[in-house]
Amino acid sequence: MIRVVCLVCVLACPVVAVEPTGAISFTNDVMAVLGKAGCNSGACHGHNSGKAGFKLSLRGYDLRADFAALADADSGRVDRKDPADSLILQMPTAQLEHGGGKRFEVGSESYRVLLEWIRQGAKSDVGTATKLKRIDVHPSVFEHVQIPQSETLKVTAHFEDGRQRDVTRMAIYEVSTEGVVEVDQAGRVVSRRTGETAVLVRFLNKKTLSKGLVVRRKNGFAWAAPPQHNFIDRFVDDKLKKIQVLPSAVCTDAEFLRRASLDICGVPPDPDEVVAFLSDTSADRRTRKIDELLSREDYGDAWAMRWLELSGTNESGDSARFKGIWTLSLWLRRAINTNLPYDRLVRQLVAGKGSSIHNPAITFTVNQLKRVETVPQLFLGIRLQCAECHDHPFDVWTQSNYRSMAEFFGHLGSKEGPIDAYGREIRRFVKPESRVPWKAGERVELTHLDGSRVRVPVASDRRDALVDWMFGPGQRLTARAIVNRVWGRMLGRGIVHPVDDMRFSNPPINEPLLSALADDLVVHRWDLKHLVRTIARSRTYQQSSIPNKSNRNEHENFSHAALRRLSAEQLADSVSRATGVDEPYRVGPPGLRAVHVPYVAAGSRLLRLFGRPTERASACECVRSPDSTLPQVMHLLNGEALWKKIRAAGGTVERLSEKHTEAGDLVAALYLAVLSRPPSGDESGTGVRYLAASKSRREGAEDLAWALLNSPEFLFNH
Amino acid sequence: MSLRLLSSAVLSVLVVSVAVGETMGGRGPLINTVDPPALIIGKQTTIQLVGRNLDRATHLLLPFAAKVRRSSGSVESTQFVVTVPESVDTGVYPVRVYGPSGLSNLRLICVGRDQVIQTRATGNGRYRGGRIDLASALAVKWPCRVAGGRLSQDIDLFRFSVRAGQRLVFSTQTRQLGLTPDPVIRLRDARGRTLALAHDTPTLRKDERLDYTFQKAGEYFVELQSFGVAGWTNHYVLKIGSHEYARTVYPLGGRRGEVVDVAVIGRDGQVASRKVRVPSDTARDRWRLPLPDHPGSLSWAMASGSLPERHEKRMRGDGAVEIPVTEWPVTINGRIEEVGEEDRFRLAVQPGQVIRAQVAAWYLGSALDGLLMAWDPVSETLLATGDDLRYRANVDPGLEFTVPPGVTSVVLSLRDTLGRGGVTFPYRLTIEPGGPDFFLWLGRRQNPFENSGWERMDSNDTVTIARGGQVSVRITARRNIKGRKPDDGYYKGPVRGFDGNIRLVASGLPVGVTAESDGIASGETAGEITFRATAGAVTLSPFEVAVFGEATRRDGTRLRRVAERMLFLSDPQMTHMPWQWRSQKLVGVVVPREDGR
Repeated sequence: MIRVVCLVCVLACPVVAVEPTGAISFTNDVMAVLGKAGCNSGACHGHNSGKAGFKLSLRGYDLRADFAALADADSGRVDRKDPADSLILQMPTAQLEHGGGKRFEVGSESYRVLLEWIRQGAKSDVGTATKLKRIDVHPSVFEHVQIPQSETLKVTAHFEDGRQRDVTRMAIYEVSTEGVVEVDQAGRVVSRRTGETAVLVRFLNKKTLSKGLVVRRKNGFAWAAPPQHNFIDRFVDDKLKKIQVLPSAVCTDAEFLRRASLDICGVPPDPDEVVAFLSDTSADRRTRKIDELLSREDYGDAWAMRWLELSGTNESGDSARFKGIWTLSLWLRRAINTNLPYDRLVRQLVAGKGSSIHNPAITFTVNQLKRVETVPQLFLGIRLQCAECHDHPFDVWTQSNYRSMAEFFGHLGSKEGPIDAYGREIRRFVKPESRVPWKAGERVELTHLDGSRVRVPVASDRRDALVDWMFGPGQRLTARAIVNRVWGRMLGRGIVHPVDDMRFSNPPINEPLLSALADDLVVHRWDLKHLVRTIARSRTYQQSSIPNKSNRNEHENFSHAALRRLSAEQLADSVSRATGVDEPYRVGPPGLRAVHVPYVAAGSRLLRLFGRPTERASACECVRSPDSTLPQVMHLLNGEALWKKIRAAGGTVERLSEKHTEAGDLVAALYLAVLSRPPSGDESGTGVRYLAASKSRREGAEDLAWALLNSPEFLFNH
Repeated sequence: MSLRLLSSAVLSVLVVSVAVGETMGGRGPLINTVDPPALIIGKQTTIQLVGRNLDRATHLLLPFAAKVRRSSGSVESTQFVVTVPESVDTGVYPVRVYGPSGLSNLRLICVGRDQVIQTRATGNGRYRGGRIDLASALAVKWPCRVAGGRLSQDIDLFRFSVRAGQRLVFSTQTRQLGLTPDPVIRLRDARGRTLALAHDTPTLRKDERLDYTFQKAGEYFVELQSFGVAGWTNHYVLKIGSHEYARTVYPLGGRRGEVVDVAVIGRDGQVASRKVRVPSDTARDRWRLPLPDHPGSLSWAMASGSLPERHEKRMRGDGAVEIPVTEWPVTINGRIEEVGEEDRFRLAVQPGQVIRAQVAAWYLGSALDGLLMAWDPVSETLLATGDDLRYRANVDPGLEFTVPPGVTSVVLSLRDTLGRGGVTFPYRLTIEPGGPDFFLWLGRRQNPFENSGWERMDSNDTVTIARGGQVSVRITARRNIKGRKPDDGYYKGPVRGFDGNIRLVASGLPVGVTAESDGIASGETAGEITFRATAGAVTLSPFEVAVFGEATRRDGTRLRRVAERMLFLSDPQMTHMPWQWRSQKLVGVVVPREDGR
């Protein structure tokens, strides 16, 4: 019955293409023309300071201002007596010199809309025009099995009065992944290479997506049915089957041990541990090793560092200063190691109460970053920054969303604690003006990002309401954001990538997988160790980084392990472990790991060169670049620091050279110390020959260690 | 003539420059460190004092009778062998040295019964490859006090054994002794795994306490690290034992000369009551309560006042939300017992009255970060809030307001700013008439970052007078007149606004020492008081003198304020000296002239 009613509605509301013959609406027609022509884009008049003295709001978020700029009597851009002489027609058609070039032709649909609007008096209907409710695109999902293959999208606008309109020609199209498809201004999509993408379709202030998959069908493709360790593999395999890609084989035990140690604990395994693991023949050795790694304090140390970095907290300026950072670091490490459930962890970080030295979690938001922006980005994967000044151009967030989010933090007072020369104690509380008895019954209404509303007493801490919503029943944004972040960290790429940009126009590469992981985390009461364990146990995580013929060009669907350059901290700690010489840091006692030093100014050239941020000015994962640079290479190849560590008295090379009299044993020990695996037969033979040809065994061992420390196998997590 | 004038000028410079903070023209003794900063009751302990000009510091000044012998001395260090009699209570005590070159600055030393293990030179404890090196730990037997140092770039690690079920208390005595470390105590098991961590223990003001019961017998480790940086006083005392300790006391003080019944709340909440007479010294508004039954704690800072004392609990009738206060001035002793509790007092007032309310809590070891508000309950109007919420040093709030026309009762409310409460949240609330007022500082305000600025301030509460000579001591007034640049931008409390003349008088002068002053003139913020020692004054016999500022308000109210030594937030030495040791009296000594007479 419902289907019948829907059909009747569709028939009763025919889709009509725009024809500039009736009344032209500034809100719905003129703004569509300006948007389509790109006039109000950031590169043109939508720029913060406009162009050539003409400023429009970015992508039309402020209609009143746009109307004033366009049609006010003193703007001079509209000639109501002789409409065709209007600047807004002559400039974009290049009849007069226009910095932006020709945007449309004289006589085109865009031209005629503007001309007719001026003829009708160039009136404003801002606030009175029928509101656009939504837009639909057809098809919303497309799959191309040939290259090239084309099809045309059709975009329909739905207005609040029930009217529908075909706006395909006036809609704007942008692709999320470059190169997979091309879209022209008429909505025609042509596939160019295999892969996945989404076409963002915009019309006025509404957006929708058409998701596309381009697969070149392979004749004779046969799915090999690899083992599935848990539900992750099932969802990954479903996708791989669909795109006709076979996953790589499972990695070796040595590869697994090094990878899991680096991902979970941030450090490679000790040689003794490698030997013990490689001699273990039990079927569940990998599972047991994952559990053991999760039980080490190294786990919390490594993961706390990233949270600390993303908090924007540093030791200078108005931020937390030395002690605040140190206590926050200690708190995070302990919270993660004791497996504080994620919902409680976030509640402490976002809505922590009291004093920062007694409750260091408060320090997380005592920084130079705006909480209204960092909280959504860190915990929901939502980048709200754009919406501070204008509606988000590529997402659904508006200025109103931004202001509503700010309301959750705006009621708080804070002060510094008592005399403290070396630290900074922040005390955060609801402002006392809200605490007087005659305000006891007052309530304030707050709006969440999803539009739901909540009324809370004025004297309450509104952040609690925010966290309640973040972890409320049916709410999956928070779970999706954290599983995606953890996944990205362990697999080298998020299911949504970048991991903290879970934007509407950036859909997940594997929605069922993301949903399943999020559901699993909620079912397991936000147990982060469970999440890490689940991912690490999957075959997908344990796949080799060596691609097969089928997946060598596939880098998005987790068909093989991604090669990842070691992070600055992983590298510093790996070098220290391998050479037996600790990296000196500016603060703290000697012998600490890089992740133990919570300060920005750690005083380590190696950390700086390999990407440890020199300031924490953003909550974005992008503050670290995984790229390799020439200075990094030079530091390792030619740098004195590494060479000194290799040659240090009491270091690994000296110790092993004295311990092993047989050249083969020495070579094997060096491989274990540096690469966390024994050498192959060829490698061993080469090493032995090199030692024999060296001036002294010690010098030969130093050279070999240097070569191994500069090998990609050491520098990458594979 | 000109020669005589020149000689007089030189003489006057020489004599007058021997002033507060500049003992004997910079030649007076100065103590940087006391090692160990701990004495053992009933036993002999050798302590080494390191500093400057200590070669002529022949005497040790302690507040109790002890057997003291100087064993060695040089310009930079001196040693004393001290035997503390059995009659002395566990606690923290002031220590200075003096001799013919003058009197030194103040340092603190703790006195207890446990053995003292000195570790400053042993270098025990280290990390290697990011892991604690358990083999580097120093084995200790508890109960003990470990006196160590150099924590800023190092850790110290101690190994000890316990039986199953053993409860041990690990507590640092650093800030209580004016030492700089800001310690972190970490307890580790035999594999090096963290069992417990303590930093910023509530109410201990950056000293730490870790109270732990070991489930299994065996060997464990305690690691000590510091957030803080270096400095002369970068050392610590770590006490290990199964000691009883005091979590809090109630009340936090009493009226001078009266006996108060003080309840000491122990580690498990048990209450031990003691009757104690509050010292009647009018120059001091604080004293220390010995805690002989709680050897895990040093003595507790207490307040003394001059107003009648009442107790919030006894004032409540039928659990009234608002407690009527019919008689004031008064000091009310109370406690924020529950989380979120607010204590409200309804005062009968008259329009035009100036009312001042001041909380004393945090400075007396309470956990309370008070939020004090005054409102008119009839018109529902907020009259004053007693805290500048941006101000970091003003934890104990005070407020002052004028009762508006037509208002005959006001409500004063007190709660914890952070909404906390419990047994460790006692307070004293003093309600009295307000009006223009001032504070006095002993000595000159110095920039601590200038050369020797720290040292000068360190000696701000001492005066050394050569026999037959004179010394002028600078006294600084903090008036904070509205509309003028504030004398002290940090202070946001109600004591401010007096712009009239302040007479300076000294109290407690010994025979042979006199004092005179022109006072501090209206509008001025500093004056001097000059001490003179006669030729017959007794030498090398330390004395204490209080300097009062006396003034009269326009309405005839008389004010009498004692001059205190100032502390600066930015001064590492002074910052870590507990506020209770901010002297309210000058400590002086008459020394022989250069010619020995």
